[in-house]
Amino acid sequence: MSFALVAFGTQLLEADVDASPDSDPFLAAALALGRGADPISLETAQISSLETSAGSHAAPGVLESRSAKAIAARAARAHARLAMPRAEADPPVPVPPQTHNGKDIRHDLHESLGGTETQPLAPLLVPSRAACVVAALLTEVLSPTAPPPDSRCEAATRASTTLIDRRAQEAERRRNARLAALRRAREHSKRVRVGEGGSESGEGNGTLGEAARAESYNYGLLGAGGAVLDFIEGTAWSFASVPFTVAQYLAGGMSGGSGGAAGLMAFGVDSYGTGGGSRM
Amino acid sequence: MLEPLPLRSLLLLLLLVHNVGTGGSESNPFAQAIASLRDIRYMHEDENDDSEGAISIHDDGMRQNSATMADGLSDSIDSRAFSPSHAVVADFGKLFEALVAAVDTPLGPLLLYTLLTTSPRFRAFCLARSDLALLVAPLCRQLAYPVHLRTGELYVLVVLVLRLTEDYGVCAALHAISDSMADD
Repeated sequence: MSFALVAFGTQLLEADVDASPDSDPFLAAALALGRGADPISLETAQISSLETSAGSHAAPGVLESRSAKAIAARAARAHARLAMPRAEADPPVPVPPQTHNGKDIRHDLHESLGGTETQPLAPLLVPSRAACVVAALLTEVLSPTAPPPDSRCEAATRASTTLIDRRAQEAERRRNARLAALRRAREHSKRVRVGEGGSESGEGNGTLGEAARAESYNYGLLGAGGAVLDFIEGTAWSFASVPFTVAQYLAGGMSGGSGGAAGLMAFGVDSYGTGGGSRM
Repeated sequence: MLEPLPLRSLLLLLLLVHNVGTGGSESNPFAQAIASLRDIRYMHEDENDDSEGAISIHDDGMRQNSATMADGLSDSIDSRAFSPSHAVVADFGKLFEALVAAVDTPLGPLLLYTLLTTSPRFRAFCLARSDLALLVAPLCRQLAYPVHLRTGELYVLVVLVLRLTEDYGVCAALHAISDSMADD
């Protein structure tokens, strides 16, 4: 069984690297066992140390008081339950009477083990006491326990951090979506103003000016509007269209020119309504 | 991962049980206490039968065990920890369930190893269960990726699988399960 001993001995050492035998009764017990200490005497020392640590609450580095209390209470219960008259070689241990349903537990236990008032049952004390210790440890191993307060706080902090991150990401996503929508709206309105402004002005000019065709005015206004806007935006396309726009504009005559001017004015004030008004 | 208190309790329990002196395991009262581990449902049958490992587990009892697994674990052990015959009394069904849940942790296989090798009643109980694959499958899964295991852990896992598959009925049941999974 040495390999199992080595395996969980390694686990023990890895369980709490900061523990020291002086501050941790469990580690002290493990080391004492490794040095060949008697398990029975060790267990007695274990109970005493745990009771001491649970009573003082202030021993630095000892198990947290809640855990120590739990173990100490269970160990003390087992200790009291099994505290019976010992062998003659052992010193007597004063134990307060433990009753259950009005009967002395020690007396019942003593009788159940076959003892009498005058004959102690020392040989049977050791296995029974070990059984209690094993039962207490098994109970602790198998009992479902709530997470300690520290881990609960940690989980709450992690959850709130996640929530804050999620909210920040959501706000960032909304801001980006808003900016993209704004950009799309600006592009769309730019195209609408150029196209519609030119068309309507062209129609208006077509009805007013007989010397020029509405189509040419449309081209002219489109070109003029695009040239002005793109000149502001600084694109090369606008400059390439300027000569064509000027030629069309000049060839369109005075009425077409007035329509083009009205269209240009519409872009300047950033409202299509003004462009519509120019037809009147 | 076990919490600090159960972890330390388990470590101390393992140390106490496996601390074998010059007199062998028979001189260790803690190993004797584990060896005397009895199922709370069949305690009375054990008291009438003095032979070691003579626990009789019926199918009805297994179903009853499974149905009451959700009960508290503490009551099953602590309240009857000390019986007149010095036996540690536990609900084997809940113990099995706890081992299934802990067999993936580093210390779970060690507790399983201790119980299987020390307590013949618990070993018989495990081998009689029809859902032993719940225990064997995680062990095999860990053995399938031995890179993540240290030598000691690997050794314990191999020994556990060998001990669990010593029984012909268990092997037949595991093969039937693997065949049905392959068919699916």
